[in-house]
Amino acid sequence: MSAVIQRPVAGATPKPARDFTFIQPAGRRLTEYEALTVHQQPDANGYDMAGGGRFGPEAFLLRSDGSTLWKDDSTRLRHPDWYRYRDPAQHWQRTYIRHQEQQETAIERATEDAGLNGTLAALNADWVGKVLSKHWRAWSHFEYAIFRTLCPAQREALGDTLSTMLCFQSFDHLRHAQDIVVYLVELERYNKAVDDAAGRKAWMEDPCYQPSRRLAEHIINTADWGELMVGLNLVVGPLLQQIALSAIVRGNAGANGDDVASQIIVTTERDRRRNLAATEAFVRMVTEPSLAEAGANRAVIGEWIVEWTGYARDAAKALAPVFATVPNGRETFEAAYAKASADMAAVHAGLGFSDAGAA
Amino acid sequence: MDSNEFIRAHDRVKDFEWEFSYEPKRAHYPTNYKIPKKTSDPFRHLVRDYCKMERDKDDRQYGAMSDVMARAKMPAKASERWTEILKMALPVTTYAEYAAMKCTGQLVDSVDNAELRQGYLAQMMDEVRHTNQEAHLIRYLAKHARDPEGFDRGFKIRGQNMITRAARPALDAFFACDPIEGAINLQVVAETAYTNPIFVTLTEVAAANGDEATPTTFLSVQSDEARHMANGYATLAAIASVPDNLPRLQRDFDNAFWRQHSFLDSFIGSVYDYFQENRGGSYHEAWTEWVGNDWAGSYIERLKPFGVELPRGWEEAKARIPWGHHNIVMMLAATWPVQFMRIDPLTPRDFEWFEKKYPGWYALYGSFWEAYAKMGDPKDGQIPITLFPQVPPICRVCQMPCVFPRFDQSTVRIREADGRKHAFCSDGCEHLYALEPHRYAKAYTWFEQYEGYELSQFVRECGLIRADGKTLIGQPSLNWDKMWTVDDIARTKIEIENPLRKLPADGAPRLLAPRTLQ
Repeated sequence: MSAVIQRPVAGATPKPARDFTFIQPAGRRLTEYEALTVHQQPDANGYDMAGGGRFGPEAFLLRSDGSTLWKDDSTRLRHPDWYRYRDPAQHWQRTYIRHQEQQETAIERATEDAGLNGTLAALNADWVGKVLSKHWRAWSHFEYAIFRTLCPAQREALGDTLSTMLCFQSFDHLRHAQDIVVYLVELERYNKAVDDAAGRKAWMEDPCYQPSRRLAEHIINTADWGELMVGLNLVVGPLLQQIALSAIVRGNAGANGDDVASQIIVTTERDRRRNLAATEAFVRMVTEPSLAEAGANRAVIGEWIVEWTGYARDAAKALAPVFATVPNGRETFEAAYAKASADMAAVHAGLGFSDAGAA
Repeated sequence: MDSNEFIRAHDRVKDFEWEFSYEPKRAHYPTNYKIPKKTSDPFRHLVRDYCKMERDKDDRQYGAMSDVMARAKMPAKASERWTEILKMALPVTTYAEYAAMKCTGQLVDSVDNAELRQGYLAQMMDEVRHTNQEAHLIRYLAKHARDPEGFDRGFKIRGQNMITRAARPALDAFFACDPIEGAINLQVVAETAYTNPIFVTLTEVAAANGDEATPTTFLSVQSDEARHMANGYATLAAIASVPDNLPRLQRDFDNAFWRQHSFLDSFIGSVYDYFQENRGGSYHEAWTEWVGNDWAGSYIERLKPFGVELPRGWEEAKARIPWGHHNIVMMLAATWPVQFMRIDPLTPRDFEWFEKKYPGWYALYGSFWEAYAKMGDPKDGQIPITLFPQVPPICRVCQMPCVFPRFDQSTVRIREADGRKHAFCSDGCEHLYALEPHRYAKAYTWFEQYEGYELSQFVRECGLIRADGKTLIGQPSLNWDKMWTVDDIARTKIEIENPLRKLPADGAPRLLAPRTLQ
């Protein structure tokens, strides 16, 4: 496959390489991310069988149902070498955890300061009760669904750089779900308007959230890891999370004096941008014009964008009444929806899918 | 947050699950086990605390390695005998971590219990951490060790190496089975029984041999393992609390133990006993303490009230412990041209240590090692595998040479089944095959894959040649003045043969011990 043993042949310099020689770097030099990530996942179809052997690809222990450990049809997309994928963020565990630790420390300090300087006590009861306790807390279930589904997705992904990126993405969403809960617990100390049970009740019963819950159930049920990357990061993020989180919560937090909620969502937006960039790189890789499978992959991705846009639009439109419950609301649903739709369309257009997600 | 708020937050993050209304819930990894929805939470970690904890540990580990250890050139001062085995051992441990990451991804889907799910996510991230840490250690050694060749390409070679490829059937079991069976393989057996011997005791050997990089990495890894053991115990206790699960649990536990023992005991024992220069304890002693007393005597004992007994192969495994790995290292040394490390001959001082720790060792293995020491000069063109009148076949299930419990007392049996001839090293492996023969349909042994290859051809095709384009990575000594080249190997005209072909079907052949050098 892509990995080439870059060993000098006879007559070349006798000086030994003092770095890994088994990875084909994407750029001129091997990065730390590549060195610690690429070719951790065995590739029975090529990389692990240099020299070929008499029988070629082998499987030491098949799954209980007789299938191989990794399956080409775990996604409808096809690529001759999944190991070529590189996460543009170049995160490996240390850089990723450092990034999240910095974000969490910033949130923790902001919460502590806002508690001690009276900001949390002064928050508007409607903001705390209707937006934070009900809407945002309901949304914690949606974030949890994404965490859940990306765990099996990383298991099935057909390369190590993909799996690792999906692990981090999964962690992003549980972090967000937990941050909502932790903030409300801390807010309870200062503000009596917190009603933690309101979120779950809304999630299960309020018509505003039922299309979102339907989508969350679909997300958990989706097995195709390529589809999840496309659906979650090219559609759900730019459209639905943009409205549910960025427009409703972060967009109105400032007007309601809630710097902490704003801070938390800013960190999730940063994660969302990272995951969007990772998915854009992925889509470009599988639709690269020189690839024989590019046309078929493009058709599949187009199909997914249309299907997921349908789900996401239903879920987003159902949130329209929530805008009316926000105190000091700065934006109408229509404006937020139009902006999110335009931004999503721009993302799709950038990847050559101009019409796929049109409503 | 005060402690009450922390408890409240923790209770609430368990409450993210809901009953599906719009689609029937799909199990991506169906399990045959019944899992109670409520369990005791093994650890109360929020993502925020987890990030802080891991960042602190990362800073300590990577800081130490990149700062004083590198400046003091410590890796280059470590025992060469010890450093060499890390070329083969570390790509194996790294894959164990990667396989564990896959296992925990499955568990998040399968175990319908929010508190365990979040514990598994932390473990999944830990396993990414450990994969990166151990890959970093290998790269660090490629940069700083006296002989980098082998460290630079271990991940590439491990799949084609006669010994390291045997890691796959054991470690693949973390995520190739029913997800709970995978958890039993990973958390209950591999992590709880074997991570202490690997990540704690082995670091003592490393440190005693001047290697501080491995302990710095491994002890940081091990600091996460206590949480994983707790995850495993919580999973096991939850499953064992449902009486309907017990027959399956015992069966899966039996199988998991045999799979992990088959590889891990030989692997760890070999690294432990044969590559110490400044000698301390033996693997037999470490095994008795950590696996015999702590795991079997305490951990598994606590499961007895649930009806869980010691695994089926326990007594057979126990009998293999004093001798099994000696035979594997003998095979490793006998086939040194296909290895990716230099194998230092044992000295009379080593012989004394082995005889003290394993009474009777010299009578069984002494003559081989004496012969091995005399065969290091390429001018003589002798490869120790020629000492063996009969090369042992490789087991279809565990992929290890069939040399257990001892070469001269091998429990190997040859069988014909499903249109192929198989060697099984033991009753345990034959039993695993009989339970699920379809799972080995694409399992080939190293001899089957490379039968007919001329040895120098294998060495060339598998990238076992150094940067000068002619000298082998593998060498039969640490002597820089007597390095073998691929031309030396070509002159031996040795061809890889599959020993299974010459063995009669449906029998239990007695393997012939190696001849001493005349």
